[in-house]
Amino acid sequence: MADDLTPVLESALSTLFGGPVTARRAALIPGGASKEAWSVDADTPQGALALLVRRAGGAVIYSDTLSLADEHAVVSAAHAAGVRAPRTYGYLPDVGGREAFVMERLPGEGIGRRIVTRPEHAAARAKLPEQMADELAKIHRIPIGTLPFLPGGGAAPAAVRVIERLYNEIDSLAEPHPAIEWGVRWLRDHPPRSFDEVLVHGDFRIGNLLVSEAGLLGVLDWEFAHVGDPVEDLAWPLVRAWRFGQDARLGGIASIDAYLARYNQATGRDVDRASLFFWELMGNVKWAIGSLTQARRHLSGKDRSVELASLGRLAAEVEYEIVDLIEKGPR
Amino acid sequence: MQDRPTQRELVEAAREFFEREILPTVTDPRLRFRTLVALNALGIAEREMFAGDVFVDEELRGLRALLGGSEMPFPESREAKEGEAWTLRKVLAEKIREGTAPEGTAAFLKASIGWKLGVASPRTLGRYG
Repeated sequence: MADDLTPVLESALSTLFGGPVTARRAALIPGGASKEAWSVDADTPQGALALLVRRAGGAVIYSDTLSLADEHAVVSAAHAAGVRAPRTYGYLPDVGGREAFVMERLPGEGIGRRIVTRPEHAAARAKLPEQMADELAKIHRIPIGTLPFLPGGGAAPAAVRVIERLYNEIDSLAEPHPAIEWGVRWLRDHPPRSFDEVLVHGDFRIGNLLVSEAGLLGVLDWEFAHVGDPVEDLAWPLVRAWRFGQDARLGGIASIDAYLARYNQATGRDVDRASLFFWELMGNVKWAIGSLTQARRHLSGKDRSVELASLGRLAAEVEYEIVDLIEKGPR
Repeated sequence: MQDRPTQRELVEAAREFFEREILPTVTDPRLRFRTLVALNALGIAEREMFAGDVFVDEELRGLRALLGGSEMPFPESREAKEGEAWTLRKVLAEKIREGTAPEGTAAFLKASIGWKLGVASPRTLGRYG
């Protein structure tokens, strides 16, 4: 079977752990096209470990995400800084001809819709606003000096740099989207306060967090990490698409009050509602363009999928949110 | 001229089959999710076929009211309507980027996205007050 990577994994892991490793179970988790994730139960010189091996996929590598070596460095730095990121075990330059890195496989629920809607996660939902604020506060203290490869830096304010990138993405769609332009125009006309730049996780939202009854267990998916304004991260889980059909502004689970207060208390920043609104709108604009771009992956034949195809039509939901946010104004 | 079922009735028949006979047998959560996404895609196609030219006509009239051209005869074919709407949408997008959006742009945008949602995601509109 093409999927049976077990012997290759065992050999690579044995080198990494400096002794024989037996994989009792190795399964490819369905999903990622550009990068694979292998769930591996391994007997190692350090004992029995539940591992997750992130490995390059066979397909195209997207230029806007970190390489696996760099992602490994970011996750390691986050874990060392006390963020609830998985512990890493090392980078592997060659697992069956592709690069990979190894980290612990954390338990917990990761499916956003379940976390936001299922009764058994009510206790977690009560804790998440403050826990999410605490994790972001820690993430934004990770020293970036040791991570020189992080993209996104520049002389202009972070908001200006992001807007420039979004225009490039809109133009590469090669079709007009007045509602998205309307959003970007508002952003240009209403520059926010700038905060000292930090390591931005880049995809911090429910759906990329692992959760148990105790609340937040893990922060995953670090491949979009970059240098930017901390409020970009703070506002991303407010974006309508990450509320899974619920109305509450913070990821469908709560108002922003406790979340914002806790973040400001933990960081000593005084992020105001106007800045948060700016980046919430930015997040929606980014996701509107992202949805259309994802649909192009299907249309171009690069990555045929009914999920990706549907995003082309669901972008209208995000456009409506953009126009509605602007109409109602900062709050 | 094709015999019945119509295009829309065919898609509807296929959707009903997947919904009633296939979906209940799908237990793998990921496969189930993708099946629901596929069913939703068929639903979008059905609604678009049902709507016919209605939304295209609305959008083109709105764009002409905003940017001019209302005095010209209204195009007859779907292709011509969509072609003109695409061109005017491009003009509007450029004006917005330059900061010279005409009066009434916000209201037009909200209405035109509403027409798209009427096809793609009718439930979304209900969430807004």
